[in-house]
Amino acid sequence: MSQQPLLEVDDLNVTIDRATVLEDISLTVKPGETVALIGRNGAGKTTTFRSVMGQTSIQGGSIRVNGTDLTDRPSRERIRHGVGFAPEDRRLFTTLTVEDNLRMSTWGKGDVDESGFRDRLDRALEIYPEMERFLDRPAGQLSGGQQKMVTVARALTSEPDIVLLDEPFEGLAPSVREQFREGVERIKALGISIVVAESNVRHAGEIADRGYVIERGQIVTEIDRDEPIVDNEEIKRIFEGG
Amino acid sequence: MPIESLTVNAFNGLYFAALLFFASVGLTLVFGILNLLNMAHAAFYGLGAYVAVWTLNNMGDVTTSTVALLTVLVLVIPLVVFVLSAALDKTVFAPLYEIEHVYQLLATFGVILMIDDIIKFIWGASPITVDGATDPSRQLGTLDLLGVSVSAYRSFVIVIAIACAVGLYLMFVKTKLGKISQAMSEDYEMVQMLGINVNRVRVLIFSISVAIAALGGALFVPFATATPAVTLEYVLLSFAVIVIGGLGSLKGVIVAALVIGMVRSFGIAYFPALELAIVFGLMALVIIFKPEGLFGDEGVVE
Repeated sequence: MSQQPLLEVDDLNVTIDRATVLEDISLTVKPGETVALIGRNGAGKTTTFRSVMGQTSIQGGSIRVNGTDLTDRPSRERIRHGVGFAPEDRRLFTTLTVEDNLRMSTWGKGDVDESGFRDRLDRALEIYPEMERFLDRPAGQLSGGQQKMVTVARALTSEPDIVLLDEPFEGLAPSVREQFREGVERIKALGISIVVAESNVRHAGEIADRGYVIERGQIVTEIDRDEPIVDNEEIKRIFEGG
Repeated sequence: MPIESLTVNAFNGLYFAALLFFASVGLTLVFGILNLLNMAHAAFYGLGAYVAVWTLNNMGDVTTSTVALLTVLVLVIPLVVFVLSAALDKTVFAPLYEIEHVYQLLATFGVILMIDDIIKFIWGASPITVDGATDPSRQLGTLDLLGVSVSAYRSFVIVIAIACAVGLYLMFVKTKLGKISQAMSEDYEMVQMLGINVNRVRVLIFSISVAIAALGGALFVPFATATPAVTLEYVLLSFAVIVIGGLGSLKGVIVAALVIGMVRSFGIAYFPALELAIVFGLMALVIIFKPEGLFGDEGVVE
């Protein structure tokens, strides 16, 4: 049975300052899947995510979400069609409280009132219960791990069908990383699709069903469900020099 | 220094600070939130002054009621300018948000010249004043302040400035528009990526900022004369305010307007020939010792 992909990126080409940053990038994500985009720093993972979110100038290709072509549409259309984004460098609004940071994405989607936000906040707290302790604190006062949780929760409070997590485990202490990974598992259990950009193959292997390997702005290989990510030959070549 | 003289100069300093606040708060907000260095901002102060003189002088046949006159100055003129500036943002200013600050300064300097010429075209180059019959500052008379007689109208202007500062603060910390604006001042792109229509917020913040400048100009003229030089004077003074206070900080504007207001008031009293030299000397000292301004490294409402 073939399901309609939730996210379809097709032959995406992006140049920045005349340099080709992404070349013919194609990937698909189906409902409920967790897909890894694996590559070294600078390979083009973040630019791919920024393109999906409508923040790059696309020279060619298309981006479809739930069957709708959003290639030339502004970022807010992507949110309304069910895409959430948690950037690598967190990018929380440090002067606002955690709760207001979370509220921002419901304002962005514009589909619920305050009581609707409360329901979504409760669901976010089920994923990361630790946030309850610091909901009323300015986001700038949180630790790096706490900020990561809020970044992911902020992407979730717009109730996306698919969420893009850019290097979610980077910079986390081992104990926090485990706590964080459990949260990602809870997101998966809700049926939300995930695309996770990872430069750490082991982390990608722990959470993803399948993956794409990106190198110098190109997808160099696709890793199927039945193949462990860490065993892929292309992965070994890139990351171990094998 | 006699207590009466101290009281009068402090009161005049507060009044001048109120006018400076009106002229410059929008400049710092538009920079802090929208990253637009709008040199032309205080030109809307001058425009507000001219529109107010013209409006008040044409109201005499309809009413000379003080309440009506003050309503026009405080509500009607800023509201009209609010609507007009929304249209201006979408046309004249929209392309400027994407360019570097140095080009923004050059382009908005051109806007000052345009506004200046529009003013001269409509009202001429000669100074214009409010007629006695529709001048609310004459109608309101004086108040007793610590045994000194002070203008009731100037007191009213000071109260409006305080209300405006409190209103802006509450807007930023309590309302959706204010919180989104704070977020935009930190990370404009991330706000976009959360799906918020930043263009709509931009138009609102720009229009509120310009309307406050026009409010200041409108409140200024019952006590003064509208001349083309007013525009240039307040363009320069508003830059002194934001350099001293720090670009992008509401607290910075309030503190710097108070400092400059007091310095200028006491300077006029004791060293009248050096009035502006003292203000810009102070600005130079801040540039040397704290180039980011007193509160320039803080957020909009920190």
